[in-house]
Amino acid sequence: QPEITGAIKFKEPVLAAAWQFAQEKSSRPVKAIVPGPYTLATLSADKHYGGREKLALAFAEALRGEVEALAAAGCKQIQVNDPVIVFNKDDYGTFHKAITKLLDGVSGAETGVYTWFGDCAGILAQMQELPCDVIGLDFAAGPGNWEALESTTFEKKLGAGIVDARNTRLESAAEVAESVKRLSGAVAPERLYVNPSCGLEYLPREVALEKLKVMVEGARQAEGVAA
Amino acid sequence: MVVEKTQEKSTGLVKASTALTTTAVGSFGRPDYLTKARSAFAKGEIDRGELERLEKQATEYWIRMQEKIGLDVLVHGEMERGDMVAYFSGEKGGLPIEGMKLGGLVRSYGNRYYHKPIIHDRLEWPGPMTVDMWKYAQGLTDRPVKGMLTGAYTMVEWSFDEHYPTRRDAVMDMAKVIRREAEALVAAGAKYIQIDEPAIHTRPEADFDAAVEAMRVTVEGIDAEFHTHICYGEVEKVWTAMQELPVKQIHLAFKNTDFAYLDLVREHGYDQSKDLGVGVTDSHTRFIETVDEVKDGLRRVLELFPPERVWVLPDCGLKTRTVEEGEAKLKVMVEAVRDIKRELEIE
Repeated sequence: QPEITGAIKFKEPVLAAAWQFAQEKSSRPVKAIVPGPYTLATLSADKHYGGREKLALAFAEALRGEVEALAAAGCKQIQVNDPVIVFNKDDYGTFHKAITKLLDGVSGAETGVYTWFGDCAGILAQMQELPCDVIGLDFAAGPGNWEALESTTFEKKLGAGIVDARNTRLESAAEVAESVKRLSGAVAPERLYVNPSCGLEYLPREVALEKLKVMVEGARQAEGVAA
Repeated sequence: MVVEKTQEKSTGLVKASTALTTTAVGSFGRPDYLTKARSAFAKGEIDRGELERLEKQATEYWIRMQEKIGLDVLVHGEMERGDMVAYFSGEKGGLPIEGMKLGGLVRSYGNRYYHKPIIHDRLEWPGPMTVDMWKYAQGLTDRPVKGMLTGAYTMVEWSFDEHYPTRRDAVMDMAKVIRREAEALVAAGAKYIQIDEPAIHTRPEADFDAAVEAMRVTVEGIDAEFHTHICYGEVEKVWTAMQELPVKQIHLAFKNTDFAYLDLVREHGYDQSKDLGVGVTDSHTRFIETVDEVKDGLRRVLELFPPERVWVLPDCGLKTRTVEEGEAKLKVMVEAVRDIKRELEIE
C-alpha cells in the first residue's frame, strides 16, 4: 500500500510522453487517463496529512500538473478515474472539492470523471456540478445507475459502462444494442459514449478483444449503422 | 476446568490435546526437488506418476516434520496443489469440478498472470478430489490430519461465471459439490475438515448471508468438526454475521493486525459455542517471531478465552515461505504454547 510520508508535490509530467507516443500511432483520438485524487487519497496510508480531504486536495494539486501537461501536449480527451467514491458516498464533499481543484479551468480538452464497481445513486445530481464534461458510470457492477440516471436530469456527456469487464460471459450485440437504446432515452446519442464497465485488465486478452468487438457491433446496431 | 495430566494417545482421528491445540493452516513451502519436478512435468519431461511420487515424498517430509515439531493436529501440506481454487477447477493433477475449466491468462498482481477458472456449465461433484491424498497423509501418522477444502463462496467469487443467472445460484450449487467432497472425506475417516473462505468478506452487505447459507448447505448434518479459515480483509464488517457460520471454529489472522480482532471480541462478542483459531505468526514475512512475542499474543487472547477453546496456528498457509522458514515459524509457535501451558499448569 502506498504510504504518504511527507508533502506531495508535482515534480514533472509522467503521462504526457506516453500519451503522445500512443496518439502518434493512430489517427483516432486517444484518451489520456489520470488517476483520481479521491481514490488515491482513500487507498493510501496517510502518515502525514492527518485527514483525507487534505490529502485528496494535495493529490489534486499535484495531478493538476499532469492534466495541464497533457492539455499542453495537445491531448483532447482527458479522463480522470476516481471509482472509490461509489463506496464512500458520505465523502462526496471531499470528492467534489478534489475534482474541482484538479479540473476547474482546464481548457483545450474534454474532461471526464469515471466511476466503477458500484453506482452513483444519491450523488448523481451533485455530480452534474463537477467541472468536467463527461461522467462515467458502471452499469454492470452498479445496476443502481439505471434508476439514478433515469431519475436525474443528466446534463453532461455520459460514459456508459455496459459490457461487463469483470466476467468472461460475452454479451450479444443485440444485448448491447438494447442497453444503448435504453440509455438514449435518458441521454441524447450525441452525448453518449459507450465503453466497458471498467478497465479490461481483469479479463484474458482474447476475451477483452471480443468484448470490444461486440460492444462496437451493438452500438452500431443501435444507431442503425453498419459496424 | 481441570485437565487430566495423563492423556490418551491420539487414535489418529481425534486429537489428544484439549487446550491450546496446535495445528497449521494448510500449505507449506515445496522442497526444491518438487518445484523442479512440477516445472519438468509442465514441460512434459516427467510423467504424472513420477510427479506424484515426489509429491508424496514431500508430503511425508512435512508430516514427519510436524510430528517432530510437536503439532497436535496436522495438515497434509498441499504439495500437490497450485492455486486453492484452480486445483478444483482444471489444474493438472487435480480432478476438476464438473462445469469448471481454466480460462485464459488474467493479471493477478503486477505483471503476474494466472489462469482464472470459469464456471461454464452446471456444477457437479466429479468424484473424490482430495481423499486419496488425505488417506495417504493420514496413513503416515497417528495424529489427526485435517481435510482441506475451499469454500463455495470463495470458489465462485474467484472464478468467472458464464452459466448461472446469479452469483447466489452458483454459490448454492457449489456448496452442494463441496458437501459431497466433505462427505467423502468423512467416509474415509477424517474428523476435522477445514473450509477455506478467504473471499467471504468481499461483499458484506450484498451477500454475506449467501455465504452463511452456503456453509450450512456444505456442513449441516455431517459428522465431523468443521473449521473455517478467513484471512485478512475487512473482517470487522462481517464480524457479527460471521458468528452465524455453522462451524466449530473460525480461524483468523490475528498476528497480521497485531491482535486488533480482540477489540472486536470485546465490543461485539464471539459465539460461545465456537472455538477460536488464533493466527500467532505472520505467514507473509521471513521475519521469524520470537517465542516471547508469540507468548504475549497468546496471553492477550487468554484474557478473553479459556485455553480449551483456543487453537493456535500461523496466520495463513506457509507456501510463500521456504521449507526452513516454515519450520522455524512452527517451532516458535509450539515452544510458546508449551511455555504457556507450563505457566498455566495445563497439559
